[in-house]
Amino acid sequence: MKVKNGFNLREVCGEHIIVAEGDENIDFSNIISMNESSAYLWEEVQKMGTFTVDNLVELICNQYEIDEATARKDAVALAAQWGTAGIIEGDDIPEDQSTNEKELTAETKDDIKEDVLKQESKPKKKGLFKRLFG
Amino acid sequence: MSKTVLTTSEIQFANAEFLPEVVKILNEGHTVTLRLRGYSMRPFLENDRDKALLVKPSSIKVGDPVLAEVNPLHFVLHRIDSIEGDNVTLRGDGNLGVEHCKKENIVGAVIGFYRKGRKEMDATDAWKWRTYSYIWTRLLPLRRYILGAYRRIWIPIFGTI
Repeated sequence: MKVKNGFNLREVCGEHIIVAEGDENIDFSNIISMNESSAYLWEEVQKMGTFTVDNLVELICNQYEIDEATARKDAVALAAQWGTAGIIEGDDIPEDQSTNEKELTAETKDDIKEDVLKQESKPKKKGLFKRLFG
Repeated sequence: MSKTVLTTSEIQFANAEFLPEVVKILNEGHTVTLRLRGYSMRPFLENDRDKALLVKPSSIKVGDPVLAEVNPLHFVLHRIDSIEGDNVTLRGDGNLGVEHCKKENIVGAVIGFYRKGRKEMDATDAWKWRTYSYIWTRLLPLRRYILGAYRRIWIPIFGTI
């Protein structure tokens, strides 16, 4: 696998976001953000040119106290996510299987803690009187 | 291809922290798309619904919507009401009052707005925005009543326009 050219990390208000360098426009209504650990891995693999899941596992194990099996699971999930996001290219991008195990992949997943999840509940139909004066 | 399973969530940045970063990015020559907050540009723009495409301002003129730092770290996206020398007066379309700032506090110009989640932009040099601007700025004497009626009668019945 290989990091696509020009996708650089940028820190905005403590969030690590991916900005496509060639892109003139930066769309803050639709950004790819990474947590601390995936941002670290991104910067490392960016230096490497091409990388494999094994490289990711190695990086994770060197940086964090974590057993190799867990690290591998996270590495596969992360690489798959990067693939889905379209920020890496190559034939050996692992298949994305995190649909059912979202909660299981712990550390390196892009979990954004302080998010305010939008709760869009459709407003209930109200009578004309209530709508006017309620 | 694999299914898209990226978790999408909403991050809210504090304006005072986020907008200086946006200004920095604008000054680097990028354009920036932002979701808008607040009701001060009603009736055209709605809180949390519409987006603006911003660019570093080159020349500004009366009638332009701009991003301005009216007080340190307090940013607004309002229309320019008048310019006298270095002093700029701003008035949001949905506001009755004005704000003042200097020309150098105008940090962003608007190329266009994305309304109601549309992919097509309403450019500020296109007929729609210009017609709306022409009419709305001339309705200023009646603005208080129109906005009041819009907020209290129109929106509850028909929703935002």
